[in-house]
Amino acid sequence: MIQVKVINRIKFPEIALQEDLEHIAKNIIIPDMVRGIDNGMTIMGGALPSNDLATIKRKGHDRQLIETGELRSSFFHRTEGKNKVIVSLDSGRKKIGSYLQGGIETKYGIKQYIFFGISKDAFDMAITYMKQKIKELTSGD
Amino acid sequence: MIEEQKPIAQAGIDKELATLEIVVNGKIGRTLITLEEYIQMRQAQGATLEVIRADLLTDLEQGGRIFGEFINAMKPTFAGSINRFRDVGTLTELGVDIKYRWVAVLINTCPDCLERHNQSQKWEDWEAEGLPRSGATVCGQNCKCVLIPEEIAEAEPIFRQAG
Repeated sequence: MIQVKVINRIKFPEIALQEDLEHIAKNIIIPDMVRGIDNGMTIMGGALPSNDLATIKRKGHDRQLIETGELRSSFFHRTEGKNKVIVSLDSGRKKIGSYLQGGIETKYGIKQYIFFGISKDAFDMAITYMKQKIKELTSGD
Repeated sequence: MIEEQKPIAQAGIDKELATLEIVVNGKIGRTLITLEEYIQMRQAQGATLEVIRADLLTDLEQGGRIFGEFINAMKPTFAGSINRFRDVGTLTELGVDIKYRWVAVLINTCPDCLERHNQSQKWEDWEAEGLPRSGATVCGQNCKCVLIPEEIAEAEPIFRQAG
C-alpha cells in the first residue's frame, strides 16, 4: 500500500541569523581552532600526534602544525547568500591542511592532525551566545 | 544489502575527513525577519516577553522550527556531523578526470539521494548537477552521501518497494 502524507504548510516566520552566524564563525569557531593548534589539541579534545624527531630538529621546536605560522593564520570566514557562512582555509594552506587532517604516512604509522572542525567547546559557546542574545532581546530594557 | 554497503559509505566518509570546509547556516527563506522583529511581532499578537523568551529558548534547546537548522549546522564535527565536510581537498589528491560514484548511506535517505545512489559521472558533471550538501537535494546540509572514485566503489543497486 502506498501511503500519502499530507502536511499542513503553516506559514512560519523565518529568522535572519546572518549577523549571529558571522559572529560565531569569527569569534567562536575560528579562534577555537587556532586555540587548538596553540595548545596542541585536536578538535575532539585529545592531543595532536607528536612530531617526528626529524621534524622537530628541522623546525627547532616540537609544536605541531606550526612552522611558518601560515596554517594558523589561514582560517577565514565568508558569507554566502542569506543565513549562510562558510569557514575554511586560504587556498595556499588548504591542500597541506587536508593532508594533515586526513592523515600522513610516517615510518611510525599514519598520523592524523585533526585541527579543523567544530569542537564541543565551540558548539557550547555558540549555544551560550544565542541564549544570551535571546535573553537580552527579551529583557525589556 | 545495507550492511554490505556500510563499509563503502564509511570509506567515503573517511575520505571526507580530509576536506576543510564548514558551512554554518540558519533557515533560508525568501522572506527573513530578524529576531527583534519576531519578538515585536509576537508582542503585537499579545505574547509577553517572558513567554517569547521561554519559547525561543525551548526552540533553541530542542532544535525547533526557528533554530533547528542552526543547531544542525553547529553540531560538533566529531559527534556525527562529519558530513559537513566537503570534498574540495580530496580532489587535489584524486583529480577530476576519473569518475565518481554517488553513494548514499541508505538510512533515512531522501528521495533525491536515492535517485542518485550508485550513479557515476565525472566531478564536473556532479558539480553541475549539485554536490552532496550543496543544496541540490532535499536533505540539504544534512546529506550524508559521499562521492567516491568509481573504481573503489561497487555499490549494489537498491530496490524501492511500495507497500
